[in-house]
Amino acid sequence: METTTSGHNQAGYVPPPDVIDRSETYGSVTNLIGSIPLEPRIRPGWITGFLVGFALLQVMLLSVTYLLVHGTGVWGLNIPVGWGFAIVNFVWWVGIGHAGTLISAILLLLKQDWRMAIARFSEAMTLFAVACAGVFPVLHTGRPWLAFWLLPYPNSMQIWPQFRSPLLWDVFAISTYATVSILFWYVGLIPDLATMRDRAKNKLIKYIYGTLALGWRGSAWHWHRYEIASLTLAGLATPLVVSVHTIVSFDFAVSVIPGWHTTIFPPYFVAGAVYSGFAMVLTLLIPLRSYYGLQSVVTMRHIHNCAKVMLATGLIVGYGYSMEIFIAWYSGVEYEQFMLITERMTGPYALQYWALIFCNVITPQFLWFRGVRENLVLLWILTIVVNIGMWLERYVIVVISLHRDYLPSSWDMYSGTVWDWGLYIGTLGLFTTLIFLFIRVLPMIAIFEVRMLLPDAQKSEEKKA
Amino acid sequence: MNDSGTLPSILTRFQQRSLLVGIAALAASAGALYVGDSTEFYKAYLIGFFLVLGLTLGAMGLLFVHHLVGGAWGFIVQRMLEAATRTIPLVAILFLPLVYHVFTDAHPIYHWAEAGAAAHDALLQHKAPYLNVEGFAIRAGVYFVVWFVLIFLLNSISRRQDETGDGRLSNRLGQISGPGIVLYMFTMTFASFDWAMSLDPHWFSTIYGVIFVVGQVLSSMAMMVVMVPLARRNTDLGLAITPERFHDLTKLMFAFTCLWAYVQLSQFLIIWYGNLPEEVIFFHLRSHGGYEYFAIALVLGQFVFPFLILLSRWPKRSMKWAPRIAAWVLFVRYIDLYWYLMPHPEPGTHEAHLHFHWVHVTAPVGLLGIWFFAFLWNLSKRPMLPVNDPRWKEKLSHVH
Repeated sequence: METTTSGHNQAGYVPPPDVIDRSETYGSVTNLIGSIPLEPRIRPGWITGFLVGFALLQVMLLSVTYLLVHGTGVWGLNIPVGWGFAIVNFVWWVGIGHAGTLISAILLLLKQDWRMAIARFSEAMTLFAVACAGVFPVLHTGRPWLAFWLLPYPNSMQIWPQFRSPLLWDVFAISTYATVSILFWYVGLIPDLATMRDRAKNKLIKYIYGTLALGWRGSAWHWHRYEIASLTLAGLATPLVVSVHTIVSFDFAVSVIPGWHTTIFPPYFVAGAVYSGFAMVLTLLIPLRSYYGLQSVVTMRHIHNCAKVMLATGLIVGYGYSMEIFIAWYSGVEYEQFMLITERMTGPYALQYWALIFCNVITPQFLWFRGVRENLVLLWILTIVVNIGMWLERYVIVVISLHRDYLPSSWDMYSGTVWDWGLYIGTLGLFTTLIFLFIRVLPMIAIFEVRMLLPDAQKSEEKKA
Repeated sequence: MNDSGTLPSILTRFQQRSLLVGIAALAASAGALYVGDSTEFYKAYLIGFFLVLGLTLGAMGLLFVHHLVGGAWGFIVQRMLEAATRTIPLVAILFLPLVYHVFTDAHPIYHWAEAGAAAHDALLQHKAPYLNVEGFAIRAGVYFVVWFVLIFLLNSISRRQDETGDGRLSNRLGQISGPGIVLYMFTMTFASFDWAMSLDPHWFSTIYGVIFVVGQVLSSMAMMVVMVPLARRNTDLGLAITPERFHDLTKLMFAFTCLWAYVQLSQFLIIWYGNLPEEVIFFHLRSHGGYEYFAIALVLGQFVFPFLILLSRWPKRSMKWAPRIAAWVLFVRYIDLYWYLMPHPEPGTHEAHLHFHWVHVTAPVGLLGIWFFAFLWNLSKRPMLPVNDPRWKEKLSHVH
């Protein structure tokens, strides 16, 4: 356990932990973060992690190949459950991405300084999660080589996509989201890429970083324009945090399927997305910061705050579940009651449902306690439980509502096949591989932003004002 | 600091006038009751009640948020928010006529409360364990007890801290705020089901409670933007309120405006797209028979205008213009509640018709008048800034 506060202040008030270790200096911070991508040796921990990810990536390769050869029949889909793992995994991955955008955009607008040390990393996580998410709907089309039909373009057949379908809105929402996220992430990287260029000894590496830095020299003009660009991008990205998962929730909610058609879906999907996103941020950051010795930059303040955001969003999700259940009864609609109460709680998938309640509603309650938030091992386990819970939530929503059609003669059971699991585990491999590559080649923490948090920088800020 | 606890003269004048206007308007409204327009009176009264409840509980919600995140904006308005929450005894008293109405009126505005209403209505029979007059009263009691306790804690801890300067109390305020928000969300959700959604006992929507909470918080935030420039004259607040901090307040108002539009659109789009008769009736009633003008006014007035104006930087920083926009937002809260609570199908049809009655104006004005008097009276009792809070002292050493 680490020291968590900078001490009591005179009146007994316990302030939150420091956002950066006060003993750090400009030079030490630059060294600490900037040396990780440039160090010539390959750390055993890194190569192990990378190889695990890379091996899982091969599972994805295999699963996709088998799928392309044989078609979506290799998945567990049937009638009535036409949306299985593919949609579950898609929604899960998109949700995970949300934390990065929230941290980098909304927390920037809210002037939260604890954002600085974890924004870069979380945004990278966002990009990789969106990449994993994108795999599923494209493959789910059955003929992914024709996936461009999803886009509206003038064609000789005069055929247009169905603009009234939220699935098409998804195409626009996700592609916009990916574009803005990449831009935001890259713009934020530029000053640090220049730092890397200046620090690199190897000519080739210097050249690569230099090209990517787009001629950044750190002049006042450059900084001025940088500030405007990042504020504008933050403004653009902020509605995206909300809109993407709102539209994902519309995929379900605008239908008239019991368990899907409910008005609380948009805010509760967004909250669920942020919930799983922050859980994933902690899942990755807790081991990384201790492996690379970044505790002085990613402090207990960050851990506490991420855990608190998890608690808040977890409670919103719990609120959503309770509204669904209460209104299902209150509505008096027999289909709603059957689906949300009888079928979910006592049906053939009751185990998944109660596991979901345990993971998503019971587990986060532990985060009320400071002791839990400070126990990194326990917290880390908790974040994994929450991510399992968020996966189960989508499973419960998708599968339970579909497997009972309006006509009992159309009822059927669903379960993922080995190829469903293969593709899912494969995307975990893709994600892990990309994360490990990222921390090896780019500074995972924004050096120039963290420098602004140093006591010296704060003092000069105040002098200016 | 010596003039702490005194209101600027402009507010003192406003305080006296609002009491006079409030009493006069309520007396006039009682006239409507006397001549037998009980339904019109109580529906108008309900609108007024939700307005004052919103200003009270919205303030409580903002205080919780403030104690959890601790931005400088919160310290500026903390005392005003506290004063607003301390009107809760008045709000509880103002609720009693509704209880009386539900228990005694032969044709209460809540159809389910009518004797024998469930006899030929299978849905009402199904809901009877929840929708019954005793449950209505007991649950209301529970909500008010919860709100009393939370508001008492917020105010008494803050007061003790002011007197003792004990920093541990700042941590205490943060600790009660997390559970406080949870309790606020759940009690207000069910209160909105009981007091508003059950006006049409067949209709239901899972986001309904969220919409009410967001509306309450929006109205409290708008009231703060109106109040800060008025209250800053001859108080400590004048020194503490910088353009940056005022800007933060208006930015939050802007954010809540967007949030309001978001939750309303969520409900509308999902119900309209699904087009199930038992749900879409809500929007059918509210887009015909004269209520469509309210709907359009709401979209433009509560979202489009404030959004477009507040998108720019200068109106958000203008102590002259931002309060005017905020006052407008507060006014549109009335249109919002009118549009939510008033439409009622004519007997035997699925159509509602707008029919305006003067009590629709006087009852809300009356309740608001009395509430503002109580609010300003509370405000004059305590210092305008939590100067002994260590968190605030820390803010003073920073630029923003």
